[in-house]
Amino acid sequence: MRRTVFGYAAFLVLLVSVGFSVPRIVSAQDISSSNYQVLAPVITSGGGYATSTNFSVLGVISEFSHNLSSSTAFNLIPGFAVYPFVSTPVVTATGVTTAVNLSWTAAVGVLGYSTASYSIGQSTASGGPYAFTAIGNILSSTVSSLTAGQPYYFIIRAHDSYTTTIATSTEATATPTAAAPPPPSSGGGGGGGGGISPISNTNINFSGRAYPRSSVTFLKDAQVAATTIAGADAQFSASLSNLTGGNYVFAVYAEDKDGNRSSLLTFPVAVTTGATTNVSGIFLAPTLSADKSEVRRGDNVTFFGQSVPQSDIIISVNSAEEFFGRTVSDKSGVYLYNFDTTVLDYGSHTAKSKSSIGNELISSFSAVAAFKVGTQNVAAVKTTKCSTRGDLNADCKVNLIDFSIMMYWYNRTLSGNGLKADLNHDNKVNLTDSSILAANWTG
Amino acid sequence: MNIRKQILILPVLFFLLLPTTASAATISLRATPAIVGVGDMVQVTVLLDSAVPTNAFSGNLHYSSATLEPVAVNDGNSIVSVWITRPMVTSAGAPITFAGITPGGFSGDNGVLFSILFKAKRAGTATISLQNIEVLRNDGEGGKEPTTIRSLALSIGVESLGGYTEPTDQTPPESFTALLGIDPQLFGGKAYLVFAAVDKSSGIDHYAVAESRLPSFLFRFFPLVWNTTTGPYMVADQGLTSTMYLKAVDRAGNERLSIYPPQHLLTLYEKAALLAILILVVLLWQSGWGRRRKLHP
Repeated sequence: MRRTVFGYAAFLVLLVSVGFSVPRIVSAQDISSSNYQVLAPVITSGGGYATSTNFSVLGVISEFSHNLSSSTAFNLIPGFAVYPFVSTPVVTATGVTTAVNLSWTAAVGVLGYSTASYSIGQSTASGGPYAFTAIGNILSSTVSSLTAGQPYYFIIRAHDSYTTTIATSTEATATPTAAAPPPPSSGGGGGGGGGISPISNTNINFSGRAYPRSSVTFLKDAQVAATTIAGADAQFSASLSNLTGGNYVFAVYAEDKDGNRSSLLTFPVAVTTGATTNVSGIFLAPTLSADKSEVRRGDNVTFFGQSVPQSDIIISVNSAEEFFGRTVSDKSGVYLYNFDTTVLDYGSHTAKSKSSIGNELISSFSAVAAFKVGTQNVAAVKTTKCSTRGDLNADCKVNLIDFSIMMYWYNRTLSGNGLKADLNHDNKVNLTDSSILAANWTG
Repeated sequence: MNIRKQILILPVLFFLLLPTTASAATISLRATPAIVGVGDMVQVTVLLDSAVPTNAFSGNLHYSSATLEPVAVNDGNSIVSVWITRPMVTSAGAPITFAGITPGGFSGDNGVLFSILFKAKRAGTATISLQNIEVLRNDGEGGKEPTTIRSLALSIGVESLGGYTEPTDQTPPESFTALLGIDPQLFGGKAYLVFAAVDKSSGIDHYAVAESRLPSFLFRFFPLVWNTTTGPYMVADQGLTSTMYLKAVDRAGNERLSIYPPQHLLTLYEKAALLAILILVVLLWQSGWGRRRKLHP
């Protein structure tokens, strides 16, 4: 009996030990090509960290991990086909009375990364060094007890469940304001003319990256509020003034040199009356097109588009498996990648792309480009901005007019032009069609 | 036996406690204040938390009509930019239905969909729940996002505790722009205006539209005739020669004016008449000029 108990106990200890010693598997996805196949690769981060003054290893380096090693002196990009990534948060900073309100968009992980928490880095000097405070898995926070009139600089870091930093935002700045002076006491004294207390404007400033010389449009609660032109380096900035304090949903998109629109990037912002809000680190996804609508299996399909100059472009091709390609955009932000379709099955496929700058700033994924692998090559019909899904009145925009047309057909029997409003072709116009319209909104 | 069970349970627990990735939205209700008494007002806000961008929302809000009386709905500060079914109080006890979209999508915490102002009628526990909730992803296909719904049980005391006081709204709605649409199916193919203003405080109550071809300094003698509307407005002057004035009015009565300029100076009839007059003048002038040439060759 004693031996049996001992045996069970030993088994239990063994199980727990094995459990704790098992590498923490984040993802597993088969990878294959015409000349190799990797089954169930994993990304691990349980190997401990190694650092020196100019080098750090943030996990176990295997053939499949990417972006886990960094240095100011060199980049190590091991592996060949897997590019797990986390989109960089867009940070909003508003200076209020002796405090700064911060909010940021979620850092969305793909292919194994998952954001578990965030930390705020704070500094009084641009570029740091920053003092970090862990704040949990939230998307807004207020940094209080700050000095009025002193500019503060913040970055947001996203961490995985092992507190490894997996994304870092660009810097956002805000200056806390002084507390309003108390109203004059009613007793005693006298005289003195009345004055008009200064009322500062409620403003919001945007800055980020789009495409060189591209037209950038800002939407405020779904309506066009401003447009600007990005510089040759793709950087843009814009301001909106005379706002009312409250919650806004701002969105931004750009048109590349061919008139193709980026996907809409949105960020909810709580604007404080009388304060200036800064939204920084906006990084629009690349545009993406395919040169063929159908490609003969084994031939190349070419993906192309525009992003920030000299940025790393990752192209993801979805099929039963997901395949990746990598290229670099040229000085004008244009990129091109030839993808060998040998590895793809016959049938419909989609591709999407993202952009990264120095493995630090990472955009979200572009809108998808669809193509078919078949028995012949068919050139893609050039898509124009007027072919946007949801443009029901064919005015090259998706806005309130298209919405009003869709609402006429909402939950009605479809006929004639009503069929156009049925965006998912399920013979009815309902909330799903409205969602598709909203995803393609241009204002 | 116990050890065997532990051996089985412990590994299961271990693997269950491994970090997992979950992406889902949550719609919850928040009462302000959390505890009220009979006769008090309470604001119940419908909130959305979503880790992934979502852009379309619909559902019904139910409440205990024995204990709560709906007074008003406030969609100020909402993340919903355009309503399909605007939430409103129709009758006591009737559920409040809503559906709307957020172009580009919303991801984040505590996104306000709308709020309802209730009056506590009777002591007890009032239940407020959400049903038929749909939250769709901003993925271009309208994919459904799994959504957790959190109902609210509101304690109502016997005596008044002060309740919720709506802040004074002295701010007009945000500036807005109207768009002109023409569609064969809508309004019989006639021109119409669409518009959507937002108000960050008390929410939009209604719109009013007026049309005039007169310059504004004559409004003192010929005042504008305002027509109240809540949605798209069919333009009366289909010649589109009038200036269209739109007022967005919030629940506190603050107004924001938007002006849509005339698209044409003259109507077709006026153009034809003008052309006829011009031709007549030319003919007269030519006949006179011909006579003068005859008289003075």
